[in-house]
Amino acid sequence: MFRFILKRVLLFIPTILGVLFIVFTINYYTPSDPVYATYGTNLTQEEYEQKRDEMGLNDPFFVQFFNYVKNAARLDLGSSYNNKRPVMDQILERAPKTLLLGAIGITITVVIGILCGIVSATRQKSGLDYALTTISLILASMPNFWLGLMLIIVFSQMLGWLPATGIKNWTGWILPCITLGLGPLANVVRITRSSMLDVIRQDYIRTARSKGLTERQIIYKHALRNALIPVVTVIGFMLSMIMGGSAVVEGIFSFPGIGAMLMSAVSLADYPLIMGSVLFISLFVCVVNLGVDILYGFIDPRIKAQYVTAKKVKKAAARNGKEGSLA
Amino acid sequence: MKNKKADFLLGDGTKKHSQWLDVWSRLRKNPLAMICLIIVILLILVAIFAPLISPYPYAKQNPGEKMLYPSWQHLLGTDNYGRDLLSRILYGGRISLLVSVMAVVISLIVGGLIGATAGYYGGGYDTTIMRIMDILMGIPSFLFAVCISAALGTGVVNTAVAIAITGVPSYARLVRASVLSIKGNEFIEAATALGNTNMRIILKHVIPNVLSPLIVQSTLNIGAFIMAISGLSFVGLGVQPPTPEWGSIMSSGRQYIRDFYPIVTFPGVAIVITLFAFNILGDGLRDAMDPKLKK
Repeated sequence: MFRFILKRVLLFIPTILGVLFIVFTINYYTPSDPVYATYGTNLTQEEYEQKRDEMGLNDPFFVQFFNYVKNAARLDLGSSYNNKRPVMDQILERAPKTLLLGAIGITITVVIGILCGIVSATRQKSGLDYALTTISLILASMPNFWLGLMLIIVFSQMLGWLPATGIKNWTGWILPCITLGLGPLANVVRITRSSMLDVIRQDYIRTARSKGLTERQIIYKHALRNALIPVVTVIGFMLSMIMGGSAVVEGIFSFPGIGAMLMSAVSLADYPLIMGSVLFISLFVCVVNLGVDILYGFIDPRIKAQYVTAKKVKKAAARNGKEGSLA
Repeated sequence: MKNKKADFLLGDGTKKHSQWLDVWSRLRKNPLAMICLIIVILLILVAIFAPLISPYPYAKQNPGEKMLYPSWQHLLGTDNYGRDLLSRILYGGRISLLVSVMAVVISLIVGGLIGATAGYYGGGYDTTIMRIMDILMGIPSFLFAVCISAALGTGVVNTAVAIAITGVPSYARLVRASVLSIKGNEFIEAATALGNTNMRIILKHVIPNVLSPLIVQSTLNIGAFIMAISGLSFVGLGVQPPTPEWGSIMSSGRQYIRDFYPIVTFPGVAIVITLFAFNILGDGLRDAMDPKLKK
């Protein structure tokens, strides 16, 4: 198990470097000129060249990338073109709120999704099953920013129950969290439903039934635990969707998080801030994915066993292959 | 006569017919998917004939008719410049579908080739390529699109490219997996034995055999890309006003949300209908093309 974790963690390093490389490359080709953006446009040619040299912009691409990684490791992502403040400071200031929003969003997705999935599976082909599946599919067809706007129209404008923007108190969190959580619901419902349907037909469920357990015990103690394993695998993907969506949703609700900052950076063409925010959120998603991967190894002993056998099988195959080529 | 002999040799006694006819007959038995297919065809027709069926020119401003609620004259009302919303949404569908199809084609070709070569050649090349694809998938796709779009600039083509890049990894993975599953088959071996080049085998034998998952994925992706494009346009990247695109129409109506709902509401309804149709059709196609999967 330790080797499994170690392998995952080691594989994580090229992933981080890869994400850094992609973000850096995109930034490298942005149409803006960092010198003009930082020092203004009224520089003489000489001053301009000097600043360009100082900022390392005349270095070859890979030298610049190396410096970028070095700085990123020291948590230095440059300064915003717009307000000249370090990007990292601005991100760290806003990160807790965005991460909490994402966490609540994913909780809503997973909890409601699993519940609907169980109900759908246990009452397969009933009206309720069709209704839940259809509603979740309609939710999956809605752009989250539109859902957010519609929720604002209904709950703030028409009913006046919840604030449309800002988070002066906890009520301000409700609409953004619901908006983020409802979109990816369909995936969880679908996976829970089909994996639950699979599990219900297994022999050990029949055994549990014949033991005389109540339906409740069968579903929650025996079936659900096994049915949830495939759901865990998509949590990372769900989170990626939610964190990606949080940018626009935060913008709509004027939520003081990284997403809203990213959206205003987009409208101001503030590239260091755009790249920094995207980098931060991507790395966060990667870390959670790593966690999910490791968790996955823990919750299912079959998977643990599978990893061992897969390795053994591979080794055996390699050995056979060598022997074959020798022969 | 020859065919009969072939059938006899096959030994199953079934009449030989096209795989696509089978798919069609299975799809026809799925009423929801058929309804969605009709909606998709209607959407395509609307996109093509938008200039003929729009009641008003989409850019015609009419200061006297600003922000009217739906009426018989303007079925979906008018926007903040007095332009007919229905016409703008019909034209918007044209742009959304066009950009989305462009993006699907680009990512299909690029991702397909990457995946096919990775799966076919295997080894270090495969590992490297797939690691890169994993990394690309690690970045939330909408943020990735925002990033690329910010670098490339706005406009129809740039938006299609930005969205297409985010779609490449999933195609690469899909094609690679399918290629791996058919690589060991005898007909590939036979083609190699006949002296075909690798590229020819990939194009002539491998790709036709991985077509059905690609069609399913592309149907689903057209929907997903329409959503992403509208998202980009909504945040001010993507397709720029005055070109009508569903996201940009909504974006322009956002500031009036307090007193006037139609500008933000109706383009969204159009997106929901379109996406729903593409999603259900995609699922239906998946079931029709691989009946084993259906539960």
